[in-house]
Amino acid sequence: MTVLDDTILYEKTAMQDRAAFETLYDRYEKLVYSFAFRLTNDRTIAEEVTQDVFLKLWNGAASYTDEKGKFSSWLLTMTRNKAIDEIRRLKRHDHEEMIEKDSLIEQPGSTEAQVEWNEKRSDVHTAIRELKAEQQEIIELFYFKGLSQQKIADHCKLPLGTVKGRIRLALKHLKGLIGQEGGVSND
Amino acid sequence: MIEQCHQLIDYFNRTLSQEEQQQFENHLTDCPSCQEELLELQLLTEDLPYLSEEIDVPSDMKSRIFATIDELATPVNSPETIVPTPLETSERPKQKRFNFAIPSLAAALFASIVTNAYLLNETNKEPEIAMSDVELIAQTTLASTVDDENATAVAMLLSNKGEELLIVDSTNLPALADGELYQVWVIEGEKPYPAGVLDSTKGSVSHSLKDLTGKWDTIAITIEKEPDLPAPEGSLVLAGGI
Ligand SMILES: [Zn+2]
Repeated sequence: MTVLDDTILYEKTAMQDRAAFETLYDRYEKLVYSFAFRLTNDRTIAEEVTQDVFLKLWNGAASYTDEKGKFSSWLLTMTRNKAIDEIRRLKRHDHEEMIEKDSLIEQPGSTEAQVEWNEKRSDVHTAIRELKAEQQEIIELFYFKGLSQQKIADHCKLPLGTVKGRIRLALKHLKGLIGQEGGVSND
Repeated sequence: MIEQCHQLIDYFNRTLSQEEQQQFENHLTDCPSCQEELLELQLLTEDLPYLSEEIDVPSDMKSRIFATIDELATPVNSPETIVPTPLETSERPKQKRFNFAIPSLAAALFASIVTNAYLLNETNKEPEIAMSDVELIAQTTLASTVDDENATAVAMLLSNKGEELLIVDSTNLPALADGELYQVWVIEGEKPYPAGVLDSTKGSVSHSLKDLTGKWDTIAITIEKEPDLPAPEGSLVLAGGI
């Protein structure tokens, strides 16, 4: 249902329908901003990333079709791409630095999207805690820090050629655990 | 396995150089294994953004983004906007970052503006910082005063650390006779002040208003025989309120 809705809203947005765009904006503003913050750990960069993502959405600089998967996944991929580019560009992040977890006050979500998000977070969070520490770390370094293969190898003291395999293994393991938690990956 | 297959992680994480990225994309079109693995990575990571803790967005972020969108949505050059319309200068956001405030038509001016902002601030070695200090104060379209629908210009008033800069970029101005030039004026009430001469090839000028202070209400372009006269002597070509 949400998928269909998003696609229709996206198509209207592409036709410069401002109301449709605003609906999409309201639906995803907080998720995009929070995700950008999770990646950059910097409110200013998180806002720049959010601006960039929604402007691209509005001015058609990025185009979405159903073939690209879920709209939300596409939007979040754009968010991640911009965020990791910014981190690299600004070189503000030392890749050794760990993200301060639990430093922010969590607030109960109210809108439908936020309720869904809260449920997913809880499932993914439970699943990720079941992974071995090394697997949690490689996901953090690969996905949230966006490090190069070489840096991941150095950090985890792994031969370069095994990094990709380790990442896939950790992600597959996680996906399996998420599936057990109640099928977040299904719609 | 081909050597390039090993670059998949770096492609996904955008750490490849532009050239390497291009080469990898070429490889991707012929390598079903990489296509499959890339798709798999996308699917396996699609739940991860939801791990982000929910944080409060800045209360004025939405209004800033929508203000930018409004600027982008106004086609500066369309016939109905030929009538000079001052932009809402009263509603300027406090810290409007310049890179979010570029109207589409004026985007081409971006480079020259940044250069100017940079030059105005030579002691600052960091262009990024200079850029963020540039604020768009107002922007307007100058319309033809002689019924020439094609001739138009965009004027932008910028502020860099309190120092004002006027950028004018014209299109389709009639050709000048030998010895003539296009003079830009800023006008406060009845009093005009010369504000630069359009570059004859580019049709644009950026002019520091450092030595001028005033509440400009109009920007005009006239044809003159000498630059920077105390008052216009030639004919008025374009004008617009700001
Ligand atoms: Zn390959």
